[in-house]
Amino acid sequence: MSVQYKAIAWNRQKRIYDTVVAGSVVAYVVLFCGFGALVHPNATIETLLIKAFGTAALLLLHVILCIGPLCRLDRRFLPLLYNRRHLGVTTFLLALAHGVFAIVQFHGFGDVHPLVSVFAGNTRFDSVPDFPFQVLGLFALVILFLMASTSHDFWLHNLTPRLWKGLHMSVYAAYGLLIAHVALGTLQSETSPVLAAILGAGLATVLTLHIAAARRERRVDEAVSQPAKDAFVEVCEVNNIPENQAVVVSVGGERVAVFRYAGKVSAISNVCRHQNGPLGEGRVIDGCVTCPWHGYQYLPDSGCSPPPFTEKVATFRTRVAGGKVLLDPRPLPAGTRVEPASVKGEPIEVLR
Amino acid sequence: MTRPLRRAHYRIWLILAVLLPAVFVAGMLTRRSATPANPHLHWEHYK
Repeated sequence: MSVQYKAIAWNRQKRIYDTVVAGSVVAYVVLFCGFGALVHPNATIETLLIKAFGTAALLLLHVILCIGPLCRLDRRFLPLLYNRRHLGVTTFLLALAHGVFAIVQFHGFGDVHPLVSVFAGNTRFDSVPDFPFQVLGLFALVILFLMASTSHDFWLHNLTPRLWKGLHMSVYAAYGLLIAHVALGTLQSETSPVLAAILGAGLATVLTLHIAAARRERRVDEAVSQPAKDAFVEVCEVNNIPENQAVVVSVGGERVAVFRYAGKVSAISNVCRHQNGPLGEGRVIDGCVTCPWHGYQYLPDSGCSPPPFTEKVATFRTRVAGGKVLLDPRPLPAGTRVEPASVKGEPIEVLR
Repeated sequence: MTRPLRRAHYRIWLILAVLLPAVFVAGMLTRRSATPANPHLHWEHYK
């Protein structure tokens, strides 16, 4: 979060992240072209670059798609999520370079416009081995462009988080198009099984991670809390909440983050107002719940961002009795202050 | 994420888990037999 508007709030982590990404991409392209020139001495530099950019973009897209579920399964991957959008923009630039080189090389020397040639050069949509796979790649490139061009928070605020998230979920369509683009394209003429094996392994990894993470999330959603005497439900034990951290519980169809800090317990919505990040996986830093994704902060007792920020999340009434946390599942309007429940007098065990 | 978004993710990935391996396997099964390379022809030189 920043008080002043800055197009990009550069910090040390962001610089290191981008330097590592840029260095890795350059090293990959140089090594790919160098190794490719040794193995295929007759290949032109244009052909090597087309393959280098294409494989780099596909590899990076796999990494991007693995980051989300990995973070859900193990929070140690969270630092990768922080600047995931930079990886997305890099993927688009690599895919664009691949597309431009390929269109110029394969469609640029005829008597029709290169883009017309992409669509009209091959119309065998009824054939699997001769399918016009370039069209699939072009559609994927358009999706990646839309995502890269709207990746800045400016668009997140103006399009609204709901629409923005919907637009950026089209990355799954782009991924499907690219798998088809490669399987029906370059793999058709590739005699070595290595590329097919790598693509198959990448696809299996992405699918397995997403299904595993989604099943884990469903188990949390389906967990039923024990009803208490009044509107409150028992959600967890105080001792299960590490100091300055939260336990995420599912009540009333939505998730609530129950935080323990400074001898108190407060509960707020688990959904960050910025990008729907999981607040319950963050920590209380300087008295504020801090979203693990991009550092948006909220006061645990009111759900309000500290001044001068204006973001607010829903709060929930809590009680502590017999070492257990009880919670009223009815959310209060976003920003409503609730007196935190005190854990004084309870048998406390400090978890860190 | 909100619950509807989590549900949407789950459904999308269930569909992709069926669709993408099918596309991949179909692509593999219908691979063209590659024409043997002519060691005397270096077409790149003519570009």
